[in-house]
Amino acid sequence: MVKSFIRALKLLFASLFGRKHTVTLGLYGEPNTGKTTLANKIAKDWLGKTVGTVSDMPHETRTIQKAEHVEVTAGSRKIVMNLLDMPGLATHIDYKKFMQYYKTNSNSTQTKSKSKNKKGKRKKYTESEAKKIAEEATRGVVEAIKFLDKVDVVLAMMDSTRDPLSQVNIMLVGNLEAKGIPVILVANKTDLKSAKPENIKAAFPQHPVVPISALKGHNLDELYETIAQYS
Amino acid sequence: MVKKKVKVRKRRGSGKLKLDFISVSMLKGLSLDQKIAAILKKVRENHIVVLDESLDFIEETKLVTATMEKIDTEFKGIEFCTLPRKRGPIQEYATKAIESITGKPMAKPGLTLVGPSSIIREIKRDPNAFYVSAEL
Repeated sequence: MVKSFIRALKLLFASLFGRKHTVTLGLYGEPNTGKTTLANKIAKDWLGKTVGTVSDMPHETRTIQKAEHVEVTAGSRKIVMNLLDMPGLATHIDYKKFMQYYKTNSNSTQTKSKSKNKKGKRKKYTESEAKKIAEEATRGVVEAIKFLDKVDVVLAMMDSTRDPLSQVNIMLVGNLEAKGIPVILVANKTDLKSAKPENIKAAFPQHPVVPISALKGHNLDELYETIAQYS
Repeated sequence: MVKKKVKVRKRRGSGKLKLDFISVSMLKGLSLDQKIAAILKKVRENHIVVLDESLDFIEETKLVTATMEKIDTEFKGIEFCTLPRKRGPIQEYATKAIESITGKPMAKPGLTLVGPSSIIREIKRDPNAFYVSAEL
């Protein structure tokens, strides 16, 4: 409660003295919900560069990826934000699952071996590489949770094709409510036929829900306007 | 007449599901770290732990971070679910008053289930219930 009061005071002073307030925006959510896809879309549109590597493999993002000083126009307002793409939150990580995936050119995978063999075919992760990825992923989860105290606004990314009432989502939203940090629920993957963003609204009726497709860039204007309301 | 010998294979392992129902009084007086460590110790021994209280969000995040630090080739992590029981406004006010006087958090009414992800396959939930699928 004290932290949210201090945050409100900072916003008041910033608006009174006309100083541009830089919002620290954290993208949180379970793995494969589209956090890095959205971060890349925003950074590419407004900064001209991407933030991280996107793949089907869960926990592709294993360290916090930052895009600083992103100036976004939302209607008549300009928001300046530091965008933080967080590692996916999970309660279990099995290294064997990573061995099913092909290597990407991710810089966070510190392996000396190339992603393709001599015939140009893509290689899957070896057991030792998969264990290293699992180790990095566990550290990423801990880092993301610790960073909850340092963000101003959170975009809680949820896959519209999945059940939103997972314990990770409940824990994340509950934590943010307890800390007084504004949270915007982003119902992603609305481009897919099985998407049901209304399920997310029904599960968390006390928070704003913005349906988007980060991949296709659908409805991002509404997302920017909602961020502007909460920053 | 020659009798054929038939080999009978003995079943490996106990194949038993271990459920621990733990009351609030058993964890009373423990610090947050001690409480989470006690729960995780049982889960790493392949027990499913059921608490007759609902972990709060601070305890849940501590459980997740402590789990991440314990994950290795043998222990893949946990699945857990909480089902808090809502208190009335008078009860809520009284609880907050007692907590502010004593300086100690009171146990939250409800239920918590924590188990190894290698045993708990799926947890489905709605606001008033949760349904667990487990497999040894």
